[in-house]
Amino acid sequence: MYIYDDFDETFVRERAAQFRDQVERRLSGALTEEQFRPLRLMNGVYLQLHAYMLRVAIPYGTLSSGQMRQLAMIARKYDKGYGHFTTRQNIQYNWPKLKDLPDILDDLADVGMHAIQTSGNCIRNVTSDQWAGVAADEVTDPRPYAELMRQWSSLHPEFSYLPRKFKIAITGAEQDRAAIAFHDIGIRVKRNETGEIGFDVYVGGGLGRTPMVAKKIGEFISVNDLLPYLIAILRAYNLEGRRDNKYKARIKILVHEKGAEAFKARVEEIFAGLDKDKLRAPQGELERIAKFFDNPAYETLEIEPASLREARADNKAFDAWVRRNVAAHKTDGYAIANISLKPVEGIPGDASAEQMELVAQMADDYSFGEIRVSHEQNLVLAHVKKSDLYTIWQALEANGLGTPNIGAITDMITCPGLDYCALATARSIPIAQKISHKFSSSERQSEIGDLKIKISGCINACGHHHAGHIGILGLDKKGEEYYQITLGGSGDENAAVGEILGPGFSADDVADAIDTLVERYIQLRSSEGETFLDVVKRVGLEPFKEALYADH
Amino acid sequence: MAKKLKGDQVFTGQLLREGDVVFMSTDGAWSKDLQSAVIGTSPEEVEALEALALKGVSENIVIDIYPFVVVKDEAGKIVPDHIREKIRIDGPSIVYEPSAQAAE
Repeated sequence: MYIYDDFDETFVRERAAQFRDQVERRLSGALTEEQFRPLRLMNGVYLQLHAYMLRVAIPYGTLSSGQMRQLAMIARKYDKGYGHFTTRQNIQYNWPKLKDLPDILDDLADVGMHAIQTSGNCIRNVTSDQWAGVAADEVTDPRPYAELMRQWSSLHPEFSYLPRKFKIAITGAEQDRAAIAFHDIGIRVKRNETGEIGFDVYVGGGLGRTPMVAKKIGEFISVNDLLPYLIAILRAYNLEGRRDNKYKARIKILVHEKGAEAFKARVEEIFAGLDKDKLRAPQGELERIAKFFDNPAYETLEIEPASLREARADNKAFDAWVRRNVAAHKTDGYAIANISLKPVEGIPGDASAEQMELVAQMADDYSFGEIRVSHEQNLVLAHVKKSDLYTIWQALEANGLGTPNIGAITDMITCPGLDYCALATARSIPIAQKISHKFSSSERQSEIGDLKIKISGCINACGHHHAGHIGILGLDKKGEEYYQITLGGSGDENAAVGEILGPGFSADDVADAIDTLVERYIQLRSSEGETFLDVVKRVGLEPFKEALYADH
Repeated sequence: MAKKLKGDQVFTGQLLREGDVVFMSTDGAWSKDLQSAVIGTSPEEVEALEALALKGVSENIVIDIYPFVVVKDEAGKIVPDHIREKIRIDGPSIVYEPSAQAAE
């Protein structure tokens, strides 16, 4: 993984020192809250329902074991012993004190981490496929490009005061695990017949109150042109994006109002006028970065070790975990082990300091000291020997991290909702817990198969409900929480926005409603291989509406 | 700033240094205990409370102040009339601390 050089190190240290000074001035009264708020937000410090919240950047979701240990230390020393992994592949602390935040930023800087680009109207932390570099279906590792974009976008002078926040995601795989179609810019790395790398560039995707699927405007943009092309998009947006209305300020609105073709023409016009040679990454920089992402020292291993076969045959729980949580690795004898942060009736995305330390240890012992965070709020050990899977699973299982549910109905994206968030209109976590309880049996989950439920506690859609096969949106109706259900959304390469089924449900009735929908799906499916989403696409919403509202 | 909310009102904010949720009690002091809050029962009283609360802001004690509606329950306890404020006062409605989860 990428390791900071002296420049990065100095930059992060200076930034932490600046923030220490800003906090001191705020506490002394030299700065008013109005003056201080934008400064704290530039360092990832929000004010939430109960306390301040610190959001720490995990660039493209890659962490070293040492960084994970430091995150655990911070959770224990300054917070309440846990952290929350987010859909932006970041981590949030829910209880830091303002007076401690300068020390926390220093502790983060000790391991090359910070909270820059986690808030404000700038280019946010670039996200990527959590299986980048190891996925069997990958064209090439997108992380060198993600790192290049991180360096280019960090405190970019032209793009630090955009009309609104700006999110970029990149994938190098056929299957989109980074939800690129729901980002301001989504990038798909491709390889042509001659082996050259290029980028398909999508713009104007987003969730929130106006969900939009991104439109492709750039076709096979060359590696050399990547940064100039991004600059052209951002310049078009910076100049023409709306600043009069916060809710219409994202690039998706500009692309929608202008039309994708007209926006593309504007980008191309700007691009044509750029002095591109000055805007490209310096010669050799991408190659320098790429070296950090070289394969670790894989050994030559048996494709399917007998020990794994035997352990699976002997232990049903382990076998269930392998089936659900282990994915194909590009290298023979290795596997991708996904660690679910969605235990039965747990809090999606939360991990205790002890769990973080265990994962760090597992990474050191079995996965070249590296950990990934997925946008679906899980963790990944990306390079494990198949012969080590059983040992890893035993340790995970003993510490509440062995839930075999990746991609299953209980692997829900869930925003913090009204339990933590100052913007929320309803709670999300208790709804996830009720659904998790209802579908807790792993046999039942495997009968249902792949089904993504995503829950948001307000219209801002941090829980990606629009992209859920089943989406749940929590709202406030005269002081009562109620929940709207959508069907047919998808955040993958066939991205779609879910459609509202009908009247909403009370908090007590949501899990039963989901059960009804699942039952209907099982009746409707033509075979076990036909997924929930396939059925919704085939039969439409009507049969599900009938099932849900027949008695109403 | 005080919206003309229907009902009795209490001023709340968060401590600048810690971020903790607090309520304004007598003489513009700030307490974590809602029961010690001063209730404004008329527009004039709420306005006077707001002036006092803003003093807490200008003195850099609290941030993000606003009023919310409260009622008294049968036992005479002050309680908020909306779930948002209830959660804000009681803390997350879920068992979130790892130590508490372990004890369950």
